[in-house]
Parts: sequence; C-alpha cells; structure tokens
Amino acid sequence: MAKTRLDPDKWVDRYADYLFNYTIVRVNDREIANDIVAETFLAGLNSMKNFKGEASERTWLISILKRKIIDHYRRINSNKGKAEVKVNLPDGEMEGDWLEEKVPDLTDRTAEDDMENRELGLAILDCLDQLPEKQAEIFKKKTIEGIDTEAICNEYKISPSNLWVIIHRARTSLAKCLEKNWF
Amino acid sequence: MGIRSFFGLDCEAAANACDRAAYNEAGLADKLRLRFHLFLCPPCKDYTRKSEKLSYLIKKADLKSCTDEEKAVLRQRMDEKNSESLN
Repeated sequence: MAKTRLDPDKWVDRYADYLFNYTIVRVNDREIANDIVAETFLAGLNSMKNFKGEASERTWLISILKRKIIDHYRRINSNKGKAEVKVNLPDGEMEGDWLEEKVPDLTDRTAEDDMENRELGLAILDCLDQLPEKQAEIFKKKTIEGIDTEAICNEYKISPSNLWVIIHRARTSLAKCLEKNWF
Repeated sequence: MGIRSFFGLDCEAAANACDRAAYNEAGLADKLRLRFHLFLCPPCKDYTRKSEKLSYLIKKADLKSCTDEEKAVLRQRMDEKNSESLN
C-alpha cells in the first residue's frame, strides 16, 4: 500500500471542520475548540518527522487531537479545588416549588442520543469529504453556516442557478452516501 | 429524472423547488406546484423524501463548522510556527 504523505498547507481546508466538530461536542465551547484544533495542527507540524505514513493524514491528526482534548481536561481538573458551584435559588414568588420541578426534563434526550448525534455528525462530514472540494465548501456555507445565497454567489462568482445545481448535486451525493453508511 | 411536466413544473424544476424548500427559499406558488407534481411523479416524490430525510439528519447532527475568520487564524498560527522553525 502506498504510504500517505503529509501536506500541512491543506490541513486547514481539508480537516479543520472535521476536527472542530469532533472537538466542540466534547468541550462545548467554540473558542476552546478552536484553540485545541490549532494546538493539534501545531503539534502535527512539530511531529511530522514521526509520521510513518501508515495511517491517513486525518486519522493521524485525530490521534493528536484526542491527546489534546485529554490534556485540556487534565488542565481543567488541576483547578478542581477552586471550583465554584452557583445555585440560583428561587425568589419569593416561587417559594415552595419543589427542587425536582426545576430540574430540566431530559427524558426526551439521552446520553445515547447525544452519542448517536456525534457519530451522525462525523458520518455526514465523512460523506462531505468525498465530494469535490468546491462543492463541499459551498454546501457547508449554505447548509451549516446558513450563509445567504447572494453572499455565496458573490464570493464564488457564480450565478444563483449554478449555486442550486451545486447544492442539488451535493445533496444527492450526500443522501446516497448516508444511505450506504448510516442507515 | 425525465422532463415530464405536470402543472407547468418539469422534474428538473421540481428538484430545484425541493432544494430551495429545504432552505426555506421556495415561494408559495413553487411549493404548491411542487405538491401537485409530487402527487403525480413517484421519482420526484422519492427524491423529496430523501432530501427531507437529509435535512432532518443534518439538523439532528447539529453540525458546526469553522468560519472563514477562524480558518484564517488557524492558517496564521501555522504560518507563524513555520517561520519560527525556519529562524
């Protein structure tokens, strides 16, 4: 099997979204997730000479990312003695309400649901990786970022009808890919 | 999909209306014509069903992506690192 070669110039375009999604569901903070992804890329640059070329570039970066996420939680836990718990006690009008009533109702969303959604998100990104680069970019902007049709057309210098053709192709390929890999 | 036309909407236009509807960008007239078209056109109905399922899954996955600005910061940090190692 041919050995994989690293191409750090393309890392941000190719893997930033995937790594970001992988991280944000685990740290739940956009800024921290971005920092961890940046640290992952920098650590990747540092240890390029250790890359044996046996795994794919993305798998290798994810293994670094996992360590960075663990480091993040270690850092947080080292401050656990200083933790502060804030409880918003009810005001006078609400006095007498049972504490149980203030607990959010999570019966419709379980840990399994969260895990399934994480995996679904990564499966969708895997399928997006298989689309032509420009098609995937435009689809992400339109669907995930919710950017206006006109703004995307201006950025890529395409007409609205071209944009809808691209979106249609992307949606058809994604539906096929998910049908194969998810259902 | 063929080019059979029902109620002034051929299959290509129906797929386009379906895609626009997925992003809330289809007008009321297009939506109504699409409904009529789907009633008579099983392939388009199948496409719409898959498209709706895809929209549901994407919403369920609550995907996030880095903004262009965030990607620019990532690139900048990598460039800084590269120039540090060159010096």
